[in-house]
Amino acid sequence: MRRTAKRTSVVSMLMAIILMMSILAACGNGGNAEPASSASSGTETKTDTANGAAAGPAFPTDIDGLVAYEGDDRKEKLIEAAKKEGNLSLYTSMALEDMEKVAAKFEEMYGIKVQIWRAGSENVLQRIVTEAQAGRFDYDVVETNGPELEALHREQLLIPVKSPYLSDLIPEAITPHGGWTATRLNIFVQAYNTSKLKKEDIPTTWEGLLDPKFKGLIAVEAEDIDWFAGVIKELGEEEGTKFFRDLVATNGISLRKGHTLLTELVASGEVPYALTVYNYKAEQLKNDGAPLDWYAIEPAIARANGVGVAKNPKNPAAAVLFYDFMINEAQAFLAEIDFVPTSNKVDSSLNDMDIRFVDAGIILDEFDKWEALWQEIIMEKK
Amino acid sequence: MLKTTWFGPTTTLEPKPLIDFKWFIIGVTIFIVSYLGIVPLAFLIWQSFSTPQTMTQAAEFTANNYVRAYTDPQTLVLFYNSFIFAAGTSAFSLVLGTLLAWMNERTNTPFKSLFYALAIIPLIIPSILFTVAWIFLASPEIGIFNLALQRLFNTDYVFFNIYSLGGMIWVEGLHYSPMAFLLMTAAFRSMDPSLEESAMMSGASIRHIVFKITMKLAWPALFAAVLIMFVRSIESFEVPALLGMPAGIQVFTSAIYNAIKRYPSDIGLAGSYAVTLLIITSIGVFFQSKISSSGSKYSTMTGKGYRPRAMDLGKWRYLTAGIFIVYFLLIVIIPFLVLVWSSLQRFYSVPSVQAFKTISFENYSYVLQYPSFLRSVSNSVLLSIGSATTIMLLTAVICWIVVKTRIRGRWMLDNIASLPMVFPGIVLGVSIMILYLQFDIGVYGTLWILFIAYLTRFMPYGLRYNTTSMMQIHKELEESAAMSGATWGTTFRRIILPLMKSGFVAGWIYVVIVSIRELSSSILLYSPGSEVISIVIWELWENGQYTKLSALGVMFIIALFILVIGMQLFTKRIGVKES
Repeated sequence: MRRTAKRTSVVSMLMAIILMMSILAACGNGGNAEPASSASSGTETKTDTANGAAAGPAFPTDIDGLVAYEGDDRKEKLIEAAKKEGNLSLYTSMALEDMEKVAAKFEEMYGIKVQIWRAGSENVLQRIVTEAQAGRFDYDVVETNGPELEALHREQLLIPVKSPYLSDLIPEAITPHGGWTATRLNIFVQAYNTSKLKKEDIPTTWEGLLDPKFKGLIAVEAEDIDWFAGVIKELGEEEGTKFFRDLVATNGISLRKGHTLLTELVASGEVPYALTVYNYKAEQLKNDGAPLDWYAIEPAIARANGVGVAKNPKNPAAAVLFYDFMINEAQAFLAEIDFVPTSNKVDSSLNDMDIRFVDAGIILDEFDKWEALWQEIIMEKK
Repeated sequence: MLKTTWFGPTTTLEPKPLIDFKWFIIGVTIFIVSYLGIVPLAFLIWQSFSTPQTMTQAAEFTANNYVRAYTDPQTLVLFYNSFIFAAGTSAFSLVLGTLLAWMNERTNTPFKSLFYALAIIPLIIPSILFTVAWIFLASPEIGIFNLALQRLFNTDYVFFNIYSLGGMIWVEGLHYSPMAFLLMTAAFRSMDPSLEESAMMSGASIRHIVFKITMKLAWPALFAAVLIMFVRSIESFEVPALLGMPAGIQVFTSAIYNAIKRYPSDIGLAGSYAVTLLIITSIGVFFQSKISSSGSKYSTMTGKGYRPRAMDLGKWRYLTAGIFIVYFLLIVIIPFLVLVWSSLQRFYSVPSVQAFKTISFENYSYVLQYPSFLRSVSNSVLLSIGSATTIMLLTAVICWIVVKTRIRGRWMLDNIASLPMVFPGIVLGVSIMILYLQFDIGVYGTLWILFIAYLTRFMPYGLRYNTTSMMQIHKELEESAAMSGATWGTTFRRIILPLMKSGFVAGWIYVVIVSIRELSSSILLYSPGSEVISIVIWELWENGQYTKLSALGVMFIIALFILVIGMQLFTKRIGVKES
């Protein structure tokens, strides 16, 4: 009798939990429909403003109207509306220290408080997509790597902005769909330790790396598949693949996880020659007095980072204003803190370098192919 | 086998009124633990049968994830590498941790009073820092050990190569040895030495006593230590990524990581890999439950008074003292000094007179002024202490049910509470995120969601620590308390918890440390305002501010070191008097 009582207690507990789980699962299914419903509520607001616009030349307050507005008073009206909103939520993968500085500029200029959430680019994407699937839109603007922005565009979570400042940018910075826009470039450069290798020994062509004197000296970051694809495309697919196979066979390539670690390891002498470090990090360490120098085997491969406005922002005017700010006012400041901006108006030390851009769309489409090749040649050294 | 125990004699602790306080507590605990354990489990299994979901393409049912995961010949290689790595790591850290714990608790080795807190230092150091410190110590190119020995013997010979399976096992094993140390210390501390003493009286040698008596009595703890260290090292990411990758050694976690990192994120594939870990853990928990259902075989804490007494090692104690000192210098002090050294520099360089001139404390002031640093510290302290305390109390009840009662299906309870151990942190993060987004009770975006994640993630460890201690307490103590009219609540509070103290405290310290370090689910779940310290660590690491990270690491170690010593002093005053 007593035993039965106990048995039922555990069993019924578990039953209750299973029941709850199934309810939750049901909620989950229901929740998936939500983005669609919030999209339809978006159209409702649009009709509202359309009615408002019919009454007089009012400045739009919803996101669809704002991104399309091209009147002469765009800027002042935008500032006015954004100030009313007062806040901005930004998801970013830029180093927090740098983003804090950029945000401080924005706050100083327009008096709008920027709330920053920072994580790695893949986590930025993951968080936005997961939140959106549950119908939650906490981000107004997102600033991250190109491929992740492209993925967000494909998830229909970004909206193109008709900004007058787009014409100041280099043509490669503008995506055909306009869902996001490149604001800065990470350029893959080659770095070497100056106490282990002499400047005159450094090769200026990819083939030069096949010299046996580099045996055991070369390292690459473990996930630079887009760089790998870029170099192979530049050399021609057959020749490029052959080059990497030969390089692995003659001199070997060691893999390191993380670009900054790789740069630090060049500075410490652990890695005498690195194929893929970011120009700004190498420059920083060099300026700090580390025994390291960098250069680029041209054309250098560049990965774009950019900015995009959320489809359903809570602070639409502030979001559009920040987008404008990133492609306009912030550009010179980005150059000041060692980034490579995409504006034609800002002079960069890398202006005369021959650069090829990684196409974020192609990287997403062809990822499986390049990953398999990378795995085969670089990781498993076949 | 189990069936017989289901119908075995019931405990003497029976409910008197209809709804008893005891059943209330037990019910609530079972509910919370099952909820925490089953939610991610259901998510993982559901995902492992789904295709990735995007805006344009809904998730569909598929078994393809399993086909892809387990028919790829590469998977076999990954499994093999992971297995060797995990077996080596758990064996190495078990031997090391047990030896240190035995010397510390069971012998009269000099200086041991200082030891407890010092032995935990490797665990406190964030694993990225610990691994990088070992690169600087034992890499063939710039390792200080290699450079020193090469200069000494005037040769080019490479003495140590950290980029090898051996190197990986060494670093990971050292890093995990405090986990074994804490668990074994707890076991030794609440072990009645009378059996050992009688053996000694009868003229048994120390070796004989150790292997025939001490280790046999500590078997549940040894088994628990192997189980959690094996699973943890299969899951570990930093050491394989930083040391294995340059040597071309790929492991299981890299497959999981690659599956999640891509777009659309292939959580299903990652989940189907993790199912293997699920099975391994379930088997482990099943065997442990067989140990615990073997009755009072391991309980030495009976109604008789005892005091744990140190064994006199005679002149051998100088040897054990020597082992202590070498361990300290090699494992604790030198990596710590490497951290201190790099925290005083602008970028890492091999120690030299020239580099010595550039020393500064800039990095420390940088870290202290870091945006949201103070808020992160207070959030982390709150979360880690809160989750450690909650976990230890919850799992104390759970393991009481598992070890001391004959409730049907208690093995399942043990298993459910143990399974979160195998979820890759990021999968756990995503599952918790989805749950509280869909089921909006206002925890999303607050500290509470991190609290729930930490509870889930570290509950299994708390459970193992508590179970080990619980098995040592003989039932007769509860029985006599009940005979004397004590309620269940009183017995639990005044008898069981104080007797479990050593395991409880060890587990508490462990959970505090690992939850301060937790990153993979925190990074998805934190929001502006609920930043935690591991995010700052990650941030500094990502930005390559290695020397600043070292400064943070040094402060981290000192603070936790003080916390552990404080905890030691505090617990000496409560609970059973030991001498």
